[in-house]
Amino acid sequence: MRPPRGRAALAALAVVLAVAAGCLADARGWAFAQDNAKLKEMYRRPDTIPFPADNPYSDAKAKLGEMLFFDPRMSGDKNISCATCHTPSLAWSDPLKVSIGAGNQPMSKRSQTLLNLAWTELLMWDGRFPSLEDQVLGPLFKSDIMGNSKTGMVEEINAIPAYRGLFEQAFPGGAVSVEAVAKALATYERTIVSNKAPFDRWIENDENALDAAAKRGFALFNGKANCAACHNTWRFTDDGFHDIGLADQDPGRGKQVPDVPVLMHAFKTPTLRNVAQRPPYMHDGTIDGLEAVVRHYAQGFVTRPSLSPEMKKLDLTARDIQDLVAFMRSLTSDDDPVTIPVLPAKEAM
Amino acid sequence: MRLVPLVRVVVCSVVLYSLAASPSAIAGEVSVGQAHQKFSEDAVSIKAGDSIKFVNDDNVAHNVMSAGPGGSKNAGLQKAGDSTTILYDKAGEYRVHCGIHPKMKMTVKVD
Repeated sequence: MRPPRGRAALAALAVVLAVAAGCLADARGWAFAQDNAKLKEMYRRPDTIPFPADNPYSDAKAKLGEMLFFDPRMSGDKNISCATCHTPSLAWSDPLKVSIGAGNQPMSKRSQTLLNLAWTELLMWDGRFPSLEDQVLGPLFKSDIMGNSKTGMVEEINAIPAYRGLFEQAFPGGAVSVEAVAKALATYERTIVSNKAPFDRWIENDENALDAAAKRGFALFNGKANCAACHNTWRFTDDGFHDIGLADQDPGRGKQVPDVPVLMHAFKTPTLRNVAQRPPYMHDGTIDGLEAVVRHYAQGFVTRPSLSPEMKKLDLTARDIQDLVAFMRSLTSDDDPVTIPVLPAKEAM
Repeated sequence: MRLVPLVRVVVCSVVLYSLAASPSAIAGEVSVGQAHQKFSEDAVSIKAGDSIKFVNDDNVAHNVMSAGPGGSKNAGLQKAGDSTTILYDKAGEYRVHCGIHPKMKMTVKVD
């Protein structure tokens, strides 16, 4: 028995629509996979560490820099080393809201991690130093951080015979100098690189490296949560400066560049590598945990003329927040233990 | 030789297309994009009196700043989709960067 002509036409139309819908779904799936592949490529780690042409890597410089980094005699009172505020055990930061400097006085800002600085420019929360060679000298001679003087530091190092030999190896024919100290410290700091994290293994197509929550978090991070507007590239920072609406009066980058209104209260975007290992968060250390950080970005910021245009109220569910935190936890690498060097003794007078 | 006029037309078309495609050869105004937090050109050569139109074809805000012989110029906040134009009326080399994302850098050579 033949079906009525109208019913047959409807059946044919339904088949055509079903096939078309299937093709469309396949096309969308393919497009999503392509977009996701492009997105993942943007987060792929580099293979080598960049060193500047005017301060190329050498083993001797890195070894000297490592010793100077851990040596408290580099400070005016000989009681604070670079590692005091940048502890390798704590992802090269410290656990304090704001670090404690010379004279046991609190500093104005939170210690930042030293992970992956070889790739950055404009250092410190306000970007006041153009290179790592400039930056490493800043804390040494700042009265409220390490409180040393250039003369005092060079005299102290020269009084340690083994250091004189190490400087000769690192800088043949050159004397102990402030410039040589800067180059050695910067060379060592450029070697501080986070190992691969579960996220990196996922980027390399190990689908089991991330759980479902972290994968959803990655999609949110690059989607409606808008985190990737500033926390992008493999280091999860744009190396830019943004006012994220923390309710303090610190001018931040605005003090360095006063003619750009959106740089008032703006601070450098911190890397998110190993972020779960180094609370508290923000330049002033005022947020204790990652969930609270996400809630700040969603609804908790103050609105003012300098607020970054990328800061928009977000409608995140409790599961969204947990997924974003799961994703951020996937950025924690299993780093190698750091051996603290034995430091040479001062020459007896 | 009927082919000669055709060859001329083709050659002229190629030359015109090349001129249009090269940011350094357009008289008056050159357009520079800013997608993916990078300027579309690392370096641009123009003549004194020419302008550069900075197009924010990114999905985040930028703030172009230019420093050189004519002094410093701050183009101000550019939200996604905005454009701003800077006039270069003095010869020399200018360093251009984004005030918000200082890693975005390019140079402008003005003859």
